[in-house]
Amino acid sequence: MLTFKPVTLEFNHGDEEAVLVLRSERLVAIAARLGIHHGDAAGEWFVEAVFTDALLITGGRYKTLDEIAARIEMA
Amino acid sequence: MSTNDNDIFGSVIQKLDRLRALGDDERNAIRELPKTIGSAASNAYLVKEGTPSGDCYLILEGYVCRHKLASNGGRQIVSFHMAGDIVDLQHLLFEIADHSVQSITDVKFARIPSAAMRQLTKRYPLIAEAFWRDTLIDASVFREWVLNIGRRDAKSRIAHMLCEFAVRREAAGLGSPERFQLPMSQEQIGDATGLTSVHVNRMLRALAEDGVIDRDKRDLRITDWERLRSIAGFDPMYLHAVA
Repeated sequence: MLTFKPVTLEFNHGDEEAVLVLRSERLVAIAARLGIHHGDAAGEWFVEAVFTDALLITGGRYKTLDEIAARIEMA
Repeated sequence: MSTNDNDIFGSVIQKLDRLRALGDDERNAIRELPKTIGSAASNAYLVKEGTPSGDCYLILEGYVCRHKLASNGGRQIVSFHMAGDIVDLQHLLFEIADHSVQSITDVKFARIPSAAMRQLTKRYPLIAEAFWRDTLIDASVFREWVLNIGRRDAKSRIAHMLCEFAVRREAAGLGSPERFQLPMSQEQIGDATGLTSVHVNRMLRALAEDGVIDRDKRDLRITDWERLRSIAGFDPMYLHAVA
């Protein structure tokens, strides 16, 4: 089962709010919430990095963290 | 910039003349080429990968890109082109398009039969040499872009793309290299630099925070050219001073 641990990214241009996507203490992915300067995409979750076979979702944008979890589990 | 029927080939003659000094005979022969003038809205395909093409496209107004698609749908833009560029000289010799040419703005173009272009190169060796140099510079640009997306960090990639666009735009007589409107969207910049549009947005903001560019949507001003060039690692030698 995947869990989400809130973290703050060391960005100086927004998008600091982020989560580590974990499976039993193992890091699966990192996602950041897009800030207001991303226009229509603001508020969406952006997959910064993936460390599983779900590599193709890297760079994808999702409305919710559950959508990201579902895509990772599908891979 | 706008074109009229008397000056359809003006921009390409000027460019070819920089590549290889032409005489009056060569210039007149280019002006007499058969052509069909056309226009297209943005996102239109002028050339589609895998299809036969018996024509060459000369861009008269607007901007286009060359690109290839991966089997997963991902698009890699391999170059941008502007007025005065012949975007598919390979169709003088190859019948099937090995990549696509798509407009990124409204465009006006001249379509010239490849057979007429081949005849031109046989009769006028100076024109053949200019075409040869043009395709060699295209290849040099492709090599630089491989380096850009393969070995530069995200901010450097964007900076390099901006430097090249500014220099080529000035060489094409399209205005100041320091202030212009970017014709491409952030998604298209991403497809040209191997980045997501989110990263493009972040890197443009980072360059603005560094004080090297100032932008309002697509209006862009390069406020510190030397620093932008340094961030990009931009050396215009690969453009051979004439592209």
